[in-house]
Amino acid sequence: MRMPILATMRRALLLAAMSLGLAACIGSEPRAPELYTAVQGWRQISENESWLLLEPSTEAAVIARLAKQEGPRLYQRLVLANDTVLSGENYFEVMLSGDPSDGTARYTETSFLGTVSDALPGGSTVNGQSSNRYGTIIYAIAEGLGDARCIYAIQRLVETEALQLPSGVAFGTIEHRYCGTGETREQLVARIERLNFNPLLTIVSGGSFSPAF
Amino acid sequence: MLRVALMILALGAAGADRVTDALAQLPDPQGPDAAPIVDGGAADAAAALEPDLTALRYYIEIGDWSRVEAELRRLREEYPTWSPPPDLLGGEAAPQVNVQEVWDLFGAGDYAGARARLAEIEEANPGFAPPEDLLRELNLAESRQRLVNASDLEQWQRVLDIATETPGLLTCARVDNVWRTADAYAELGQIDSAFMLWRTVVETCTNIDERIATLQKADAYVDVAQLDTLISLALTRSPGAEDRILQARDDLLAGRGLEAEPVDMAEVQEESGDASTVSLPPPRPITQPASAGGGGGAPATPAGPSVAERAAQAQARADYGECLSLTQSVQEPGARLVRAWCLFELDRPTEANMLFGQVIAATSDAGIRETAQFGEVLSLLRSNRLAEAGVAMRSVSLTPAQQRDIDAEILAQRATSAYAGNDFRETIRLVRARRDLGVTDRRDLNIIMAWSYYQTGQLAEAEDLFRQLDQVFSTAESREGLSVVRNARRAPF
Repeated sequence: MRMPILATMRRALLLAAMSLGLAACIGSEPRAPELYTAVQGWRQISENESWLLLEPSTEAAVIARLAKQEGPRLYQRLVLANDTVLSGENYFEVMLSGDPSDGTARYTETSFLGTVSDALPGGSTVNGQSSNRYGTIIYAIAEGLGDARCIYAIQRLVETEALQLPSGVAFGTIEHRYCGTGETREQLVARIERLNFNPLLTIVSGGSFSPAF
Repeated sequence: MLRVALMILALGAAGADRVTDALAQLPDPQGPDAAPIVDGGAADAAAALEPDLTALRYYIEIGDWSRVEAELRRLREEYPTWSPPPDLLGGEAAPQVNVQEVWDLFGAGDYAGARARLAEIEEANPGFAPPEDLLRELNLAESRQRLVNASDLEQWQRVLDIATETPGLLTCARVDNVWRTADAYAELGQIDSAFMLWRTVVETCTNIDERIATLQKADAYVDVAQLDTLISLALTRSPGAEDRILQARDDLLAGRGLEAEPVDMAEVQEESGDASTVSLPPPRPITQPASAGGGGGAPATPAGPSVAERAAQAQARADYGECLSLTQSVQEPGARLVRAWCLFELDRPTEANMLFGQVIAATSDAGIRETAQFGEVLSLLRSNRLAEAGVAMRSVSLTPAQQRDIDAEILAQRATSAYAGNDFRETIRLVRARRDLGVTDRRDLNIIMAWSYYQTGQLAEAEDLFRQLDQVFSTAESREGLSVVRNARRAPF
């Protein structure tokens, strides 16, 4: 009657699969093969293509560099390591839009609370404001999460002496989300306060952004 | 414990009045005697004795007498002892008020709207008394919604308050409410009270799937002896389903690093001397496999569960934080595989993907590798790294079910991308295509589908979907959607 350990583990994995909703039905072939065509999404990019330059300690925590295009919007996302047991990924995400009529609907007064709520894993929230060389940063810090704290910060990019938006870019945003164990509020805010854009971002090549696109 | 005793008495009775009386005597859940409440089978029995006359009253109101007759026939067949109440055709003093609209709102899950309409009707009809069945159902539905919200927000004391305030909320017909209430007790450290609720469900509610689910839910909190008490009860009350229950026991014990002795039902019943109970042999620790060529004489050494097993157990009870804590620095591929799935569950697909890749590179076990490869594809899809997922899929042998789930993930990602690109018709098409695969609905996709309906002028569909979402779990997001769509529908142009 002894249950082999591997069998036990496999059964646990089956449970895991079931919890993912993966084992509910059997036997369906792909019904829409065209779904596999023309699919886009994030693609990996090299460090040299990154728009953002981070502090060395933050740079070391980057585990993936991704880019994508959605309509008039170009995105880069740097996924960061996460030493907590909380849900959600740590990241910096930069969006540049070439559409003058585009907007930042996620950051309007009415939607911001929902956006923050989606981004943070719970806890009590403290709101704040800071700045970096590219302008104002608005952030929310979640506390009461054991020994961890989290930040969700946004920044609207405007042209400043420090940042010349590429030709054709109407506006841009930076989103930053980070949860860390033992982090102080100041440490959480510092990552976005101290970031820099790659100066090569201002180069325009053939109507598209460079680097990365 | 007084509350528990009263609850048991109530469960043994058939009438709703006894249940109500018993519940009314229960002390405040915040008091030291706090214990569970359940009307379980009694309330079900009461519900069975009280047919729903909504349709009948509606047909009478609209004068559709052929349907009235048909409905009366149906009610008499289903409830042989029932006779129509004397006021069915309109008591002398009863004003002729049509509350169908309120029922419609109620049926659509718009409880606030139903309340508001009812208030309007009461104001316009002095002396009008709302139908008791409508008020009862409305109260129950609202309480159910509050309980679910409180439970989802882990406001455990609030869950208990709501459960106590609303007799009729905890029944076999609404077993999810009972589970959530038991969870609340357990999370507040009142395991005995939670145990009594689980025990009551196992004893009283007849659905075998729900019985087994109750065992699984209780497993996260009870000790082995309590678990076996529940299993013993389930066995005696589920003739014909013993194998399923014993299999569930095997699984639950294995999660604790234990294994069960073979159980012969006839034998254990005989040993107990009572057909209504069984005495299960105590489980023993899972032993390590005997070493190959070990001489055959060495006794197996008892061992506790491995890290992988404990992590898998945490994962099975959706305690992903515990799963990550357990596996933080382990190198064994099995444990790392479990960790990867827990990261995936915590919506950390990039980290999960890295770990799946490491497991694939490190393991020589074909089963672990296949599972990790599947996880690698899924995590790439969840990260919306579709091109990489396509490459990874080429090296994976997928079952039809896995293929379907991957299709569903691709559709979800494409729908999200279409929505972000303001292509709302494509969003709707893709979410519908995903639904056609028969996979579980995802709330985030339903939200963007509802907004896509709104953006494409399909306001009725948008309102229906937002209402459904709000009914299941009311959030600021669902309420805002509902409000915006309703305002748009009321607009003159």
